[in-house]
Amino acid sequence: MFPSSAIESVPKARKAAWWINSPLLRMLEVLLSNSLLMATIVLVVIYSIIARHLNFFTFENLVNILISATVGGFLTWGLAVTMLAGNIDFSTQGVSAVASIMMGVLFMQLGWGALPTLVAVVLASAILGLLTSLLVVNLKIPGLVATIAVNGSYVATAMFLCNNYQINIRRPDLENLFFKFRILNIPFSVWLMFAFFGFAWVVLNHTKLGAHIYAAGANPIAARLNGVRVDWVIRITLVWSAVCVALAAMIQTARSGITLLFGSSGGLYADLGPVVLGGISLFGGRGRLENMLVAIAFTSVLYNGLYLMNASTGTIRMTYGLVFLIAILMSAAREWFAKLRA
Amino acid sequence: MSAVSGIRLRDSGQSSARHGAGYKTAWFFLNNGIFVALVIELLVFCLIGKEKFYSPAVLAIILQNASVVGIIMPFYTAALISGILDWSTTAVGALAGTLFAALITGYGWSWWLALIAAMGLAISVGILNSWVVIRLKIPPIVATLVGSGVAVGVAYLLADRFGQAMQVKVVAPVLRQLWTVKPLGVPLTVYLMLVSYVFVYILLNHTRLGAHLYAVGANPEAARRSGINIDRLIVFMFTLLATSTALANIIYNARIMNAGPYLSPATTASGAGISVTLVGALFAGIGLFGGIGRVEFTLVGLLFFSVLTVGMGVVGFPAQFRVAVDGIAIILALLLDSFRRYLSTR
Repeated sequence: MFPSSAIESVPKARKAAWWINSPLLRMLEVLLSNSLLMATIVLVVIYSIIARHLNFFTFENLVNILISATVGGFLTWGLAVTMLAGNIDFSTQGVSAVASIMMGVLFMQLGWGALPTLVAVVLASAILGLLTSLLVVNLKIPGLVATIAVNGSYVATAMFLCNNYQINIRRPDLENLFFKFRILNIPFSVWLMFAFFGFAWVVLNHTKLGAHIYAAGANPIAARLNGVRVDWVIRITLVWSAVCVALAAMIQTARSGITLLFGSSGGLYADLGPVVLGGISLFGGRGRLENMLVAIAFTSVLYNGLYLMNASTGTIRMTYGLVFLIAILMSAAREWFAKLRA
Repeated sequence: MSAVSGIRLRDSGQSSARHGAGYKTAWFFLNNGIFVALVIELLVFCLIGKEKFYSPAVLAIILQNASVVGIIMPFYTAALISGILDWSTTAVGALAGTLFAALITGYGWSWWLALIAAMGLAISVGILNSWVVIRLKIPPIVATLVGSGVAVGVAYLLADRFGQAMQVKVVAPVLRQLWTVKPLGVPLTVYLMLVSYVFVYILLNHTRLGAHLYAVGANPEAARRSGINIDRLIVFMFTLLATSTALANIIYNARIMNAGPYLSPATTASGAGISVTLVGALFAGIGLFGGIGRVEFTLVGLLFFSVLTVGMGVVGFPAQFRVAVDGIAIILALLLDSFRRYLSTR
């Protein structure tokens, strides 16, 4: 006995509902697509009222916001590109631990210069990205699970590298490079972040590889049948994300002056929050990188304000969770509108 | 092909005659390898640890450690079989434990009232998870991240308000008796674990609901079209899982007399959200995507992990070795699952 015939299983074309073109719905749609920008502006206004005496509007605090946005920015560019290709990279913690410790070992214990250290760490993180891609591409384990699984091994590698001791960064070269070396009074690390953003934006929007990334994320099978080498696209995005994470970890380490085993990323929700908030689809293939800029601005201002007001760990953690929840709700609303207009 | 083959892992590999002896051997090891692995592991630790390892006290600790996760494990397995890959086990458990501790130390509630409240909160996170899965159509693997984000947040808020250094003291003498009263030499929690295993075993193998869980995990679309109410199943599974997680975590907290946003019995040494329950289940042959596996095998998977943790502690491995072995075990579990999927498509 078959439960239903084949004909029944074809969905019937539905008649469009009367409210589909109503002004209210249109307004909601416009509100949704611009909500992040408005929220950022509202946030700045609120902070300027609450935190007036806390120097929220000084130039130094602006630079502070930019520097903390640098770390978040690198994590976001990395994660956004992997998510566009239909994967989620959660090996952030492990890769950043390896990068941070390796930087400590090369820079302090072996006495390398700032630039060779930077290059070596970036290369090492690229190798980590390739290792992750072995699991995702060759063994066909879903990215979300595979990347969390390799995370533990990377943390262990980092622990072996430093023998489970923290290393103090005492030479000022790296700090000078990242923060003291300023162009137009804005630190080099911030310029580096924007350079990475620009590179990713150009690749995504104006090259063949970018089109392939979108295609692989939207429908991997169709992409493969059309001659896209999906395996290599995914490999490249994973390497890219590992390099981005390593840079974020190095900047964070140079800033705090001590190697960080668990510190560089704020955990899964804190990293994923801005990406989903900025409208990258959880299922890949949809979303624009420039929206990430607004998302990063929003979260950076939000967390900077919380730190300025001396918020407790509980409040900050709760905010991470709530931002992620709201991001998911907004993404669901976006999917709903997309389906409605399709 | 009979109706049952493909559902039960034990039957996979026997259905096709066209494969050679190597194929059959591979399936035999995939299905029974966990027993071999456990024996080898015990032998290795006996060789390294000598009399430090093979004392009855260590055996009791291994059982004790396994028992508290073992209360969650069968329910987690049932959820995994029905296609729900849950990341929020540690977070939901920690939240329930922290609320329990906060209500007792902060407000002086009696333990059973606090227990009910904590379970209620855990269940509401479970409902939130299932709402995200059902209404927002987001796969459980991501949806449970939402639940755990919110749960960890609330747990941190509670720990901030009622505890010191992110830990809340909890004194619950009645629940502590679960550890101190030892009929036949093992604490009551071990019996509790067995009860929960028997319950889920009967649920999965001898009820209509269990058959539905297997069906939904194997092919949700086919299950929906044959008249199974998937949404109700998902809500049911999340509720059951949250309840058992909360209970296990509170029992664990009663033993260590502390609760906090990261104090959960199910955390692995390498951290980052992967729970012991997931790794143990994968080792025991529960598929990552649902539909296959037998719940009683996960007891062995759990013992395997418990022996690993306790053994490394007894032998005195340094921390980085422990994290490394843990990380390798997680990857190995995934490789096994990947290999199993590869074989079953041949």
